[in-house]
Amino acid sequence: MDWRSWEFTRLKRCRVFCSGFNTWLNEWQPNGAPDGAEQSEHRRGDKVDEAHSTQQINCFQVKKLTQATISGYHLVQYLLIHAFMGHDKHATGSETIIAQGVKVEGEFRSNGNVVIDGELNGSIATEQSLYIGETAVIRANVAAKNAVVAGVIVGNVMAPEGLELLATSRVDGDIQTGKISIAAGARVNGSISMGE
Amino acid sequence: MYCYLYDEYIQGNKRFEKELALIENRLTDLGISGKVSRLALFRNAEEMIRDEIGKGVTTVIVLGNDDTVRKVLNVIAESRVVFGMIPIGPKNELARLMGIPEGVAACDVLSARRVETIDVGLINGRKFITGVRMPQFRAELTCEDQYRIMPTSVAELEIQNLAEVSNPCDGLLQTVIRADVKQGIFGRKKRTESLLPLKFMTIRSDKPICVFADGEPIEGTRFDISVEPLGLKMIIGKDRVFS
Repeated sequence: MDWRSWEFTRLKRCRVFCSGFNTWLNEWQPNGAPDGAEQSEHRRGDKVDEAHSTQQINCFQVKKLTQATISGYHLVQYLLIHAFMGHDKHATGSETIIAQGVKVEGEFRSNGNVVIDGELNGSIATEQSLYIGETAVIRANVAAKNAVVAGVIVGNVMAPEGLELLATSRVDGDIQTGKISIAAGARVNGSISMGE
Repeated sequence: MYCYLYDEYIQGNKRFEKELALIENRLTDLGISGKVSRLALFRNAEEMIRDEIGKGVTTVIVLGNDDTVRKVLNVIAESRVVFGMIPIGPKNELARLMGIPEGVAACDVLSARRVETIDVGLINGRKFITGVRMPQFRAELTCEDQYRIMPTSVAELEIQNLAEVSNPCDGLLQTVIRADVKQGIFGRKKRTESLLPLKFMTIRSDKPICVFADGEPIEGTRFDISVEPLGLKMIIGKDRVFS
């Protein structure tokens, strides 16, 4: 299972959760108790108290906004990973995933995309894209074509094509990149150079 | 020229008598019948096959199961003849992966002669086709003499050459490490999967450990595993799991 399938699986699980949550939300009534009879009465256009209908509309809006936010969060996450890392067909089949529960020591080299969620001590070098997950702890110098960081790096980072630091990221080292994006909450302790 | 190798367990077994007769008739009808050799307890399968190859056999077909393939794999891969199988009885995982149906239906697959050259794995000099499994992975895995991998929790190691999700013609072994990680306040277990495509690796352990290569257990403290790219020519069916 490659890392995209892993992401799809996670997305599917989130969708299952969202669909269950949506079902609960659809049944949720403004008065707090799921009551199908009461709702059907409203649909028939019976006159109702204005304050009560305003409360219903507000609750409906909150419900829809919540549903959209949940779906939107995962959609954005999915698009971010796939848009930033690209669909390099040549790299398919040589993708590497180091998940949680695994510790790597030494000089890690790869020709394809790399996803790291575990621990790594030593050095990392890849010719393609690198994604460092929230739970990853890297004590190494990092070199990749482009990188998305959500975890901790203690070491220098070199990503000539681009570097994205997400809100949960922390980099204790120098950064050398051609393009950088730093989310609110990301922490960098080191210099950033973007010259040629 | 074809050579058919019958495994011990199907010879003289009434359970497979009728099936064997149907197979032999079908092979004759298709015009691909050949010499029949029978494996026995005191007969060396590898010597038998070498003799037949020396006499001009270009295709060796085994009638049996995964254990039968394991007995002849080393010599078949070395000699570069075309290899096929007619699966009979239980334990036919390899045939399922290669898209070869059981019994007399396999004869039509042999007749179609769709030959694919696939990678062969090596573990301490022994060849394997599907992969190596280690259910309790507590050892150290050295990958391509560059870096070491250790599990930090209970893990399972699987090195795949031929499987549903790995390509047996890419010159790489897909290494999968499945670990159970505790998450959250209540310590709920979550299964994570690491994937590493490698050409060679070494498993080292202080204590003797057991690994399963194509289902056969091997014990030791060190295992050198590598891939022989495109090392075996095999007749495959159209329902194979890889493209």
